[in-house]
Amino acid sequence: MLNRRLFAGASGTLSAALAVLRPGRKAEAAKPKSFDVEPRGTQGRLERMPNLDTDSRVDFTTGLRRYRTDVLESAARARFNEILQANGLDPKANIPHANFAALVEDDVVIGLEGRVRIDSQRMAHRLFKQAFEREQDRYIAELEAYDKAGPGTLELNPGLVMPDYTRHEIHMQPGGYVGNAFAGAIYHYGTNAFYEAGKIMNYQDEHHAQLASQVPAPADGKMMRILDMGCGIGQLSIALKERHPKAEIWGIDVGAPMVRYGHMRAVDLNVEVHFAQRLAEDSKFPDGHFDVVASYILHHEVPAEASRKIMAEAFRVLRPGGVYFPIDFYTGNRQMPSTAYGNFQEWKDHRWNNEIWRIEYRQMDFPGALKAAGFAVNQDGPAAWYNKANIIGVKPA
Amino acid sequence: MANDQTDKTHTAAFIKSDVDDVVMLGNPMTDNLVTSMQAMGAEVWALWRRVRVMEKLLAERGITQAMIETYVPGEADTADWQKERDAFIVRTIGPLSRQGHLKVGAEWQKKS
Repeated sequence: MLNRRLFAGASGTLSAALAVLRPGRKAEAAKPKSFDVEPRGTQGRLERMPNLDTDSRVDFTTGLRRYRTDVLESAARARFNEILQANGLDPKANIPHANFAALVEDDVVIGLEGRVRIDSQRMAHRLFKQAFEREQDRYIAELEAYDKAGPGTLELNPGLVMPDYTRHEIHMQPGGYVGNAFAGAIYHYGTNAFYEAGKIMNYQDEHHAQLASQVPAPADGKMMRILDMGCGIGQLSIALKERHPKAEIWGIDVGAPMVRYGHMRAVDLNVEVHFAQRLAEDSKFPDGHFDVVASYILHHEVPAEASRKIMAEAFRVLRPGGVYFPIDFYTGNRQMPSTAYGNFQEWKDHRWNNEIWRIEYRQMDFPGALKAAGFAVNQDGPAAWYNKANIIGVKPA
Repeated sequence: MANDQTDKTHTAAFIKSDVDDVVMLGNPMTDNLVTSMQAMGAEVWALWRRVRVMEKLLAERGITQAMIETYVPGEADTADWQKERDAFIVRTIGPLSRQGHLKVGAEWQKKS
């Protein structure tokens, strides 16, 4: 990994001194120096791909994604609308996928956009996977060296019972979030390339810093313990610590390779975050423990039943007056796709980007589920990501 | 499902997606051809070969492999290279957006 202290500032120092070790957590140790694998330097906070050819091929896939969105998707949308009009349907109407699926199934212009969409994602993921697996002994040694380092802590739970829904290859990521030792790195490089293709630069975690800036404080302003549920590689967790240096930050995720990578990154950034491999719906924290619980794009990746359990768990671990801020698609005033093509794009993402529960998530009564969990719901919270407003759940005082 | 996480890699069994089985273009070989074209790219291969030859020749003259591997372009070069990359993609992937519609035996729409 890399030494990014230059970018981190001194955010972790005070809270590191105040941190209280909990039973079951590993003791902090000095940051390992001899295992820092950084052959080609960094781009912002992200270490460059370990060799020039991989870097260039990934760069190609980034350009390819831009070409797909700028050119191929425009052509596909135009063709889609032509086909619907030719069949007496209004493309601007909110037509469900089932009502037009057969009409567009065999069109090659639409098919090409889908083909390149899949291939550019697959190519990038495989390049990242191969790059790390090619030197797997070295990179696993690096992960192991960081497991017990600080600041912050890492808790791995080999005995954790994982629901099947957590084992899918979300976003077509090889091995998903649990099945590849380098899932954290694959996710990090993959999402950064995805963001870059969409012209959202995130090499300094700018995107997550923006998200963290929108997470609201409880009415009394107290924000000393914050939980990031389904934290993945902990980019939001780290951004929350950088924004609230005095707060104790926890990031939990079912994927051991994800929190392991997140912890390694946090150590390099000198940011004190406590990572644990735990389920969001069974976090093991005491009742009323946190002032704020946040999550980023978690709920659309889980079945509705799990989503409701996660809300109940967030309610349980929040103290009275605590705030729940689940950042996701169409929260708040829920600006859902409202055209036939929007519905088609959403369906394609669901089916062929392996977003298995995205449609189920959309069909949920999200505010209703939050209310059923006990929260007072505000659908006009601070804007997060592209949402015009993010939903907030407040645990009644 | 019980956890089968191993000690060294901390990985567990996963459920493989079926995305590699989808046919988007009506014929699996057409899909394969498009995928293959993206993966290879004749121009990429030509550039790769050219770079390798240059590296060998440069190494003989004191520019080592390590110096090339660790070279990071400046901001101006990075911006220029990204423009070149985007133009490269238009040249190589652009033909895929062609929308032919005439059958092999079609008459000329306007012959003279």
